[in-house]
Amino acid sequence: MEIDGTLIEDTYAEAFGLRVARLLITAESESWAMTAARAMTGFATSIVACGCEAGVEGPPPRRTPDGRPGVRVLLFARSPEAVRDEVVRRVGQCIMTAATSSCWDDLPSEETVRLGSLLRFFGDGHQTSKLLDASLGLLATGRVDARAGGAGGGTGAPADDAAPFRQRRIWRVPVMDGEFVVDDRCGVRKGVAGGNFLILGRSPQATLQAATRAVEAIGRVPGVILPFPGGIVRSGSKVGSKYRGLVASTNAPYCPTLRRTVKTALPDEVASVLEIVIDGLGVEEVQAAMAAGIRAACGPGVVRIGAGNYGGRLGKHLLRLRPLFEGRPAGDPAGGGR
Amino acid sequence: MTTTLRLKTGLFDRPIPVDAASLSPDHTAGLTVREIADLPILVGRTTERAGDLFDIEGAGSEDLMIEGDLGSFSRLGAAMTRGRLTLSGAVGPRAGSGMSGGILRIEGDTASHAGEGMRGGALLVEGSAGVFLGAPLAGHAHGVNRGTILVRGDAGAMAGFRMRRGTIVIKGDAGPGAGTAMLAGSLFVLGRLGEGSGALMQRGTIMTARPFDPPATFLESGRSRWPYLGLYYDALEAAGVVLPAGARTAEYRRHVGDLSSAGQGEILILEAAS
Repeated sequence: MEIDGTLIEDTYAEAFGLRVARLLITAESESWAMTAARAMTGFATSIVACGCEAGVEGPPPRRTPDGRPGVRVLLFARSPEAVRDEVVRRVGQCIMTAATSSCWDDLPSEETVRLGSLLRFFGDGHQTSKLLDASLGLLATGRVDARAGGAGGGTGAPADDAAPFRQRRIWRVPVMDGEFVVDDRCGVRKGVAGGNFLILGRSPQATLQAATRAVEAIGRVPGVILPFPGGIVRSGSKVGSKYRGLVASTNAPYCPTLRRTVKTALPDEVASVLEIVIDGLGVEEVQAAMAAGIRAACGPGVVRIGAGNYGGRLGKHLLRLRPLFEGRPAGDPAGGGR
Repeated sequence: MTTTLRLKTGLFDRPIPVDAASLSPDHTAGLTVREIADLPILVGRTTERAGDLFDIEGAGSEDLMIEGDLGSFSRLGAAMTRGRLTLSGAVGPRAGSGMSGGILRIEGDTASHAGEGMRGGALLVEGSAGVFLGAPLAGHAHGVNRGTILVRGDAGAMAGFRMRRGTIVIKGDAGPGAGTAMLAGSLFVLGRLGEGSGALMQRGTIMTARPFDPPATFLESGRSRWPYLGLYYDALEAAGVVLPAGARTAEYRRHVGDLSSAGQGEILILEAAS
C-alpha cells in the first residue's frame, strides 16, 4: 500500500493500557491557560522514567465550566494511585502557581481520585468548598431522570459536547491574585498509550517536515496527546539493554549511523527516522490520530511509514497500519489509500 | 403519562387547613385510580379520602399534576424523593417540606416555609414565596441541606435561614433577614436583598445583583471577579433565568462575615450595582 508515493509497511504498532485523567485548565486568556498546561505536562514524555505521560490535547474546548478560555490535558500513569500522585503534584506546582488559572476535571468516570481535596490544604484553613449537587442539573434540564455527570459514568465526551451541568464539589483556595478553583476529585479511566508510527525519510530535513505535518494533523484529533517534545521522538527505543538494569535502549535497527554495524531495518535510501508516539482515551482515538498523522506525513521525501512493536510482548493493543486506510478499524476517519 | 388530580369545587364553605402530605409521586406512583382515591388527607381534624376532594385522571405515575385552588393545602410534596409534582396555582404553607428528590413545580405563589428542611431535588416557584423559604423544619438545626430552590418572583423574610448546603435563587427581591445564620450553601438574589441579610452567617455565599449595605459586622475585602460563579450561572441560564448585565464578567465587591459568628461567609455585590 502506498499513500502519495510513500509505502505503508504491513506492520503494527503495539500499544498498552494505562490509566488516564483529563483536566481542563482555564485562565484569563488562552495564552495563560496554555502556559499552565505546558508547565504541568513538562517532563512527562515517557512512563519509563517520568512517572507519567502527559500532554496538551487539541483542539481547545468550545465551552468551559467558568466560561473562560481553556486547554485540555491528558495524563497517563500505571495505576489510579500513580495518576493521583502525579496529578496532585503537577497541578499543585504548575497549575495552582500559574496566574489566574483554575483546574477542572473533564473526564466523568465511576472511578475518581483525590485532587482538590488534597490541594485544598494549601489554603491553610482559609479554603472553602462549594457543592454543586445534582439538583442544579434538574433545574437546568427539567428532567427528573437527569444524570448529572460526575459519578454518573458519562461517555467521556468533552465538556463542550456534554450537558452544561455536572455534579461536582469544588475547592476555592485563596492565592495572591484571587483564588485558585479546583475540582475535589478527578475521574480516571483506562486509556491506551504507545500508539505510534515511524517516518522513514530520505533526508533529516524531509523527515522532520513530514513529522511536523503529522503533529499538526493529530493536533486536530480529540482525545489524544503526543507526549514527546514537539510531538516527535528521535530516540526510539527497544526493550532491554546490554547493560544490566537498563529497561530500554536505543532502537539500533532504525539508527542510520549503525547501518553497517547492526542488522538494520532501514532501506539504503533512508537517512533519518522520526517516531510519533500517541496516547489516547481509547483505541479508536489512537487509531484516528495514527491515520490522520500518517496521511499528513506521506509525500515526497518520505520513503516509508513503519511502526514500533515488540513482537506482541509489550501491550495488548496491536494497531495495524494498513487497515487504518481500508475502512476496517472502528472509528477510522481517514478513508482508503491506494 | 401524567396523573391529574383536579380539586372539586364547593367543598368547603370556609377555608379549612388541609394537610396534603400524602399527595406526592412517592405515594401515587404505581397505584390505580381507586387506590389513589383512597389515600388519606387530613382536613381540619378529620381524615378524608383523596377521592372525596379530587377528580382523578390516570393511574398513578411519577408525574403528578394537581389542579385547583390549593391555598389552604399545606405540605404538598412533603418528603418527596422522586418524580415530578406540578401544582397549577397558588399553594399553602410548607410545600416540599423535607423533600429529598424529584422536581416540585409550583405555577403560582407559595405560602410560608416552602422547601423547609429540603435535602435534595429541585423546587421551582413560578410566583413568589412567603417567609422562611428553605428554613429548618420545626425542631431542626439546619435549613436547606442540599437541593435547589428557584423562585421566579420575590421571597418573604428570612429566606435561607440556617441553610446548610444547596442553592437558593430568588429572581426578584428577598425580604429582610435573608441568609440569616447560614451555615453554608449559596443564596443568589438577583433583585434587592432585604435589610439585615447575612446576619450571623458562618460560611456560605450570598450574592446580590443590586446595591446592598451588609450588616456592620461584615468587612469589605476588595473587588474581584469570581469565575466559579459561572458554574451556577450556566445552570440558571439553562433554566431560563436571565442574568443581570455583567454578571459573568463584572467585578463583585466582597464582604466577609459575620464577624460576630464564624466569620467565613461572604456577600458578593455585583459591582455594576454598587
